[in-house]
Amino acid sequence: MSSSDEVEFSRAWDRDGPRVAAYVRRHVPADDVQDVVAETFLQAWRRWEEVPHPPIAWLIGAARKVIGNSRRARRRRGALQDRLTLLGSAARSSEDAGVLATERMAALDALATLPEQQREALLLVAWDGLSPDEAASALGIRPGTFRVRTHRARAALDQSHARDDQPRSLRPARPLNEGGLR
Amino acid sequence: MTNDTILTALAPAPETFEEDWSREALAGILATDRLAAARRRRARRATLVGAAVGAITLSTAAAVASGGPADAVKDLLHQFIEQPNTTGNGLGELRDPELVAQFPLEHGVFALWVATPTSADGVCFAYADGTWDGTGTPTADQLDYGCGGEIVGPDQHPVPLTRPDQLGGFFKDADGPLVYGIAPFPDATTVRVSAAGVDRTLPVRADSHGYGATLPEAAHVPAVTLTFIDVGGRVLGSKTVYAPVG
Repeated sequence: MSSSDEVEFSRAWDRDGPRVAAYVRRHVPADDVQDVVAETFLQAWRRWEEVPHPPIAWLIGAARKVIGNSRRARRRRGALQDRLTLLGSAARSSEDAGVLATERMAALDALATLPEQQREALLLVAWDGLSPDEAASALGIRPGTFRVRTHRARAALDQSHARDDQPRSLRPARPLNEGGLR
Repeated sequence: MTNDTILTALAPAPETFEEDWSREALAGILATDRLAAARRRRARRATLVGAAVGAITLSTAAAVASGGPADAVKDLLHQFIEQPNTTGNGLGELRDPELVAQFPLEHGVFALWVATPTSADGVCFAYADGTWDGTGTPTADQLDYGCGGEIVGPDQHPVPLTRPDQLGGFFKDADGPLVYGIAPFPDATTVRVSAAGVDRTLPVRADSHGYGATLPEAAHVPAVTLTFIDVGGRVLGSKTVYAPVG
């Protein structure tokens, strides 16, 4: 290993680590975030010569696999309430975001009810700052497939927004134990 | 406010790492033996195709077909053999690639395709080793591919790769034990994999005669015996394959 690799990797740790942590935070409990980030960067270091630069899309794709593996190992099932809790802990507060608390809650509620693939696609761009091509790469899918997912996600959010005008009791109930997350 | 505006506004701010944890975690990562890890990870690949000796891969920008995985592999290999100064150059027409095995790993899938020339000896191959998730079509940069080269033979010395049934074996590395290969008997329909605590029967593909699976129960055995069986239950032959050491 060369010292230039170490320097470059250390820079990636400082620069991209917090972004990876922000991604991880909405998928695992806060106590597990550091472990997942460290494992992700360990994998990156082991194959640093193969990691593209800039590495952020690769790192998020790797973090996603680490998270998936962790979930499988624990046989966790992502209930809707879990997803809401994780999204809520990751998102900015309504004050910091400059939105109403009710708007924030409605947005997170709608996000949590999206199929995971669609939510991932949407948030990789909106929250993680990846370009659509980078996000497609992180997910291991084609850019065209990615565009379809984000389009469907936005359409679902629009429908959800429209339903918000209806009294809550009229909405179809969603079982809390549906397994949207692996 | 629109949904998009609210969504963007809620984007979390990246959080600065705790200084002590960050320093210790980074030092721990940098202290790991990167080269040893890479060697372990590549052991299977090297044994698989060894083709590293002589195979030159195309640019990752190479375009692949928009059909299924086999079409993508076919296009990729055709582009490869048409390139001058590669181990595939001059092999002539290739038969369509056939899937030898595909099974899930801890991360992604392992998938191997082989294609043979119509008028010469040789083997071309493409494989994904945890780099593809098994859905859709693998992209060029998710596949390693080439033609010929050398593989590690039974006596651990390199031998030229000239037949598909030379590929494969029993491997134990970061992804856990796994076995795959191509049955040397055209009539084989199943292969029984056995060792202490291991007794598994795998189907043999009718097209490529390939087989493969992960074998978590084989974590503590150094080798497994493969017994090839035909549709009538007759034993056609067997061989013992050892996991590479080191």
